[in-house]
Amino acid sequence: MDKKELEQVIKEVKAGDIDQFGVIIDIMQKPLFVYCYHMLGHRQEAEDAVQEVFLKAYEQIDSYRSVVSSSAWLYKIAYHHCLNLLKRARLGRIVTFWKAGMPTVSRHEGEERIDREYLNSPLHLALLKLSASERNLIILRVVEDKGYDELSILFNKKPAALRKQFERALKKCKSHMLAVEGGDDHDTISAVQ
Amino acid sequence: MTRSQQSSEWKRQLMDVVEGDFDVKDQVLQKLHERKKQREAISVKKRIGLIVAATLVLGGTTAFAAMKVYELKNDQGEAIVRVSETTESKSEYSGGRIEIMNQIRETLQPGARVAVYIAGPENPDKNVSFMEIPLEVTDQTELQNKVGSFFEIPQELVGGYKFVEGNISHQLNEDASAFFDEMVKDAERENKKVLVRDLPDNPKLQYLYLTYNASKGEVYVNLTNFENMKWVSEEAGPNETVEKVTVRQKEALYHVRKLKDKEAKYVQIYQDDKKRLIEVRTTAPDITKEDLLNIAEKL
Repeated sequence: MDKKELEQVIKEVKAGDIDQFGVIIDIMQKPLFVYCYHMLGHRQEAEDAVQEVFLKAYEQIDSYRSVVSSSAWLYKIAYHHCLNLLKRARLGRIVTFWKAGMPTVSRHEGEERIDREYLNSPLHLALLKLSASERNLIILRVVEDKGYDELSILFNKKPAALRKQFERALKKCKSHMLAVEGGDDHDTISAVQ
Repeated sequence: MTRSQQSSEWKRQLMDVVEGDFDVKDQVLQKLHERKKQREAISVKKRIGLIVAATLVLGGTTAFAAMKVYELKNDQGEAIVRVSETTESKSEYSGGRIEIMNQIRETLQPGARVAVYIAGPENPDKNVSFMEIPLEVTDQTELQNKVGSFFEIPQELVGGYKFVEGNISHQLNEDASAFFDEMVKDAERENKKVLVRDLPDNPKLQYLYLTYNASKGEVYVNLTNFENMKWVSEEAGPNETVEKVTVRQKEALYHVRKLKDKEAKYVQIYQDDKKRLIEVRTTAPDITKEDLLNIAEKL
């Protein structure tokens, strides 16, 4: 489906046609699963996250503007959703500012849940050593071939800064991989760039 | 391995995690249809939680059967906090509107301020909600600079509770009322169900949430700036306690509220000279009413 056709689908969804949203789900559900899985390191959480991202996207469809691709817009929602899940797990704390405008503070045991299957791959293991924003960059650059210009619109950072961050992330990633499997640091970094 | 081979290999490894039968389309569409039906069907008894001068209202749903009202008053005898006892258990905040608000909230970064208009039967009065994600500050000096003279943040509370962090949110903009009216008009003109717009920063502090910690557990000191607020209303369900207590020779309220899996205990005091409501709160079972009162006495 080309961009024009996809924009037409989004227009119909905006007009209230829920079933047309299925077209977007068909196209994006697997890439989004890949993204969420590597961000979260947990299959079940990633599956749930994909559903949540689509539900959020539908509710926010009016905020979509065609200055970025629809996939990039979905990735941005997914990024914030995953960040939120990771933050909750890491901090073990949720502060809800809803109850009659007053803070209701609830706590749960902070626990990072990573699948055992995820830990079997050196690349996956290395990704887990990166920060969420670094993982985000690696996935979007390597898997989705997103350019720095598009990423800069999404994440409000300059392309040059993103490039530097990506290079640093790659280096870290490779260093972690070397610790597990050995290899040539420089070659891998150059190759993936 | 060549560069392109290695790049492809990384890509293959990253992508090779999807199982063939992964498909959430039907589940997502079903949920969307259910939500749509829900929104169309819900008739709301709205609970006004917080009224700000700009008639900002967040509605929730509840079965309400008021029996007794406890009030915390200012020096002029006006009620600042109203707690109504009810015979009915409190309902969870739920419904399409709250769900949408929660979803929007989760996409926002700390410090973000947005106005949200959600059209539909859940919002017959066309209220626009305001949401700000509080800024989290762990450095006490930095926090004090942001808070200014509104409150002198203690490093330690009575009982040895040490400062951990603070969260700040700010007041609604003064021209918000006109801004909200414009949003409703735009949403109606463009036939939009949900409209979200960024609001400009406002340096005036509205809420300050402080966290303190000691071996017994954590204590939260929450402050509300009443400069532009009239009153706060709450409900106390069955098995919950509300009683009048005395703090610094003035009337205060003590609550014990039932949360899902624990109790929240808190003392509320109002300082009219500073136009601020202070709430000393805990969910730690080992921290007692007396502990909270002792802390409140010194604030």
